[in-house]
Amino acid sequence: MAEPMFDAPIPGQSLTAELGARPWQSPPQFTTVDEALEFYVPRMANDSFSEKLIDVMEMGIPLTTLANSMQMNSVMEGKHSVDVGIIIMPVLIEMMRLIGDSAGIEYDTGMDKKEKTRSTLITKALNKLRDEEAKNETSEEPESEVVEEPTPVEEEEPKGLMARR
Amino acid sequence: MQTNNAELLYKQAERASSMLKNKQSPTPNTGLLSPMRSRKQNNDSVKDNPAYRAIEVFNTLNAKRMEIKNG
Repeated sequence: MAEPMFDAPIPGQSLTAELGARPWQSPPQFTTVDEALEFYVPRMANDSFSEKLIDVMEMGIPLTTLANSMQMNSVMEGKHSVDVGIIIMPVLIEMMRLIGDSAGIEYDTGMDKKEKTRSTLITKALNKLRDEEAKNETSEEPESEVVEEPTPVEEEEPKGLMARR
Repeated sequence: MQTNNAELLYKQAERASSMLKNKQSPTPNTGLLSPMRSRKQNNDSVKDNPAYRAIEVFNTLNAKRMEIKNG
């Protein structure tokens, strides 16, 4: 069953502001790929930006997510169109990889598919573990049997009316 | 719904980049029947493509990264 999306826009939300009032509804600041790259590349090469980016990359946030957020934010600010953002996204990722590699850090590109552990492997490992446990049980010395002393059965005293006293 | 296509776009850019690198220089064809005019037009139209410029920048950055990675 699909989970409800609570972060989706409310129907009619786009009509709550006047048409053209939003930055993305007016012509973008950078209309070409070249202009957009001239905006991004020097900013990303900046030391203060690089330091912050390295911190974020070390936190394990995928580069694909970062690049997508960056370009989407610029679209929302009216810097460039969605089309330009899509075209320059690989360049943004490559730039981030260059920064990461030159800093010598490990980062998540967001493109390496994590290897799924096959269920057969898990079953195999479990069987091995069971076998080892069984072997250990058999190899252990049998516990010495504790000879219980027979408890003397106490004879019940006759309690009837006719009992001898 | 998936809204992040960065992975797909990056892989496409990588493919285009390698194609651009492996592209051999066209052999000089000076024959009378050589379609020089049409070829020139095609090349120009490719270079006018905004994605081409992006791939060129991608290539440059990739080459720099490989230099750093390989020492």
